[in-house]
Amino acid sequence: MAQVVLKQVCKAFGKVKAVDDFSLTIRDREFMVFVGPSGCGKTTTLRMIAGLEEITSGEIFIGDRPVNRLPPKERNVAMVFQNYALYPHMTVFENMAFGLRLKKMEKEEIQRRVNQTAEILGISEFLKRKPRELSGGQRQRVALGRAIVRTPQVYLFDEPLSNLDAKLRIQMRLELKKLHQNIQTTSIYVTHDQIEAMTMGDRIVVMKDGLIQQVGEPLELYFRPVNRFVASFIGSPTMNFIPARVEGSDQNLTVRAEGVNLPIPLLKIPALTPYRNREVLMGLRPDDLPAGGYQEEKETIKAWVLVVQPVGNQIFLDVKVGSHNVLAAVDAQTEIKPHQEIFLKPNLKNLHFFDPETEQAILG
Amino acid sequence: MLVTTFKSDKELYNLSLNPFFIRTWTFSNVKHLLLETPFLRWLCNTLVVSILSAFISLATSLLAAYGIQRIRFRGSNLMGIGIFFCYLVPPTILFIPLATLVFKLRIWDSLMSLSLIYPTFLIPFCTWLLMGYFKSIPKELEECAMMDGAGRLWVFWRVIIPLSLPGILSAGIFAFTLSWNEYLYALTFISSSAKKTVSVGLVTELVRGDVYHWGPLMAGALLGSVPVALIYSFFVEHYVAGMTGALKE
Repeated sequence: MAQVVLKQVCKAFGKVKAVDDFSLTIRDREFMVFVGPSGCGKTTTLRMIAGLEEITSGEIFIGDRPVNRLPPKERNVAMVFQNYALYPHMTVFENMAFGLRLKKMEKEEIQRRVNQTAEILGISEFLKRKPRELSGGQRQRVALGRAIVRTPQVYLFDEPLSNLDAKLRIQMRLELKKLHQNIQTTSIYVTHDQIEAMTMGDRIVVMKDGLIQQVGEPLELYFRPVNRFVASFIGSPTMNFIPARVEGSDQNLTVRAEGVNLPIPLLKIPALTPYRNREVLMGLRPDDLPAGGYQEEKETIKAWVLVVQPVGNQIFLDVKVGSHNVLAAVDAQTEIKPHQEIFLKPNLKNLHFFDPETEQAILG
Repeated sequence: MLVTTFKSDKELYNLSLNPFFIRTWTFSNVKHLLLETPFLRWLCNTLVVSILSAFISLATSLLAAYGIQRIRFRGSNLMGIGIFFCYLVPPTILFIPLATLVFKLRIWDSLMSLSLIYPTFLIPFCTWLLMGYFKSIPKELEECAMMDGAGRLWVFWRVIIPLSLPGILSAGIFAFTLSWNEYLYALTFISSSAKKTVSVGLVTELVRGDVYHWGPLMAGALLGSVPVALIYSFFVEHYVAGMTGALKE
């Protein structure tokens, strides 16, 4: 068990910087998730920790040891790959025992460890099979088993669930989380799926273009995103953005756009005062846009319904607010038809504001 | 080939008969070939040369292909292309400089000369074929093994080689067949009858001036192609898989 520290780590492929100035401390026993769109550098960072990719500059520590120059096998980390990377010519048992045999462990000890791990993962009955005789979910378990059986200091997961179908993915997500709670070992998990990140991570690193955008606990990222990218990346369905104008006097600021005239909550007034009579970008999560009614009331947004998408517990409404397309998640009981006017009653305390130029959040 | 092998000369040169049928079967051609020429010796020579050169080529190409494909050193791509170009140089241009080399190495008129010269055209081909095959093996398998504590050579031996067996077999069969059928170098570098290979021995010993001993010639061709045909049919499944470069999950 160990903490992992990255200090100003950079990785350049020729002139392209894949990872830039990456500094992060991953605590002992923490489940850290790297999330971001493809090409954001999350997998490269993971591979640098694993030792599969050389770092251009910076330092990486696992435990207290600097590992920059150590080959992968001396870093005492185990990795689970997206395509499982099981050796097709070996049985499940041999796959799991591979690393232990290389460590020259006693035969009985190998047998005991593999059996024990197989039991935990529910793959005992497959030990004599070859990987091609297993389903995707079972292969994933074997890949996990191969990592666990070695009891490394750190686990690295490179999008391990992305080859599974949706149902199995949710199940494996849960199992992975349970597993982490049991074995309590530092884990770094790379994914592009923000729901996976939110549900599994103790903390999340959001990356874009090789740069860390924000590090924080899942709900912190959800409720207090530091910029427009994080706000739009975290949360599903994604946040709506409406350009608006801050108006009014000192203690009475309002935000206005076409069809929108909302008072700014007291808490946010200090931060937004400098933006008086200026444009801002207002962010509203679909979940914070419940239906108000069919008549105009105070603190509502006038919207024109374009498409109605019932999803069971909610109805997703594609609406037009002024000239902007907005998605609202309203109660499943709401009676609504396309081409109808509706007034949405936003949850004011969850309004987000961003500087239109820097796209940084205006945090109160 | 088959018909002529078992036909007598009398029947063979009688133009009024149907050339596809045999009236009286005879083993005299085969007998002549086996007893009056050193055919078995040639067969043995060819086998030794083919196996040896296929083995040398495979061992070299495996390492070369792996290095070029997986250890991405500076210029590895160029090297891969360069090796392929080597294969395109025709042997008719090469045999004179190679003859000088064979002389200098003092291996003229020995099976060693062929076993060492054949790899010059086999290695580029096998390397090219194996490079394609290695490409189809996911990189993660190696990376995973390395994280598990394996070194490069271990990975190569325990992961890459077992996974590329179909590819190695195809390359091996190809190398074997090409050496088996080779004519030009065998004709140039070997002079004594006892050291000839089948392809050269038959032509030099059974064509005397302008007299073609068709019966024994065809018998030799038939017996000479049997081992190759056997190998082909035996490995055909692996061979086809190797050509398509498929790694079955």
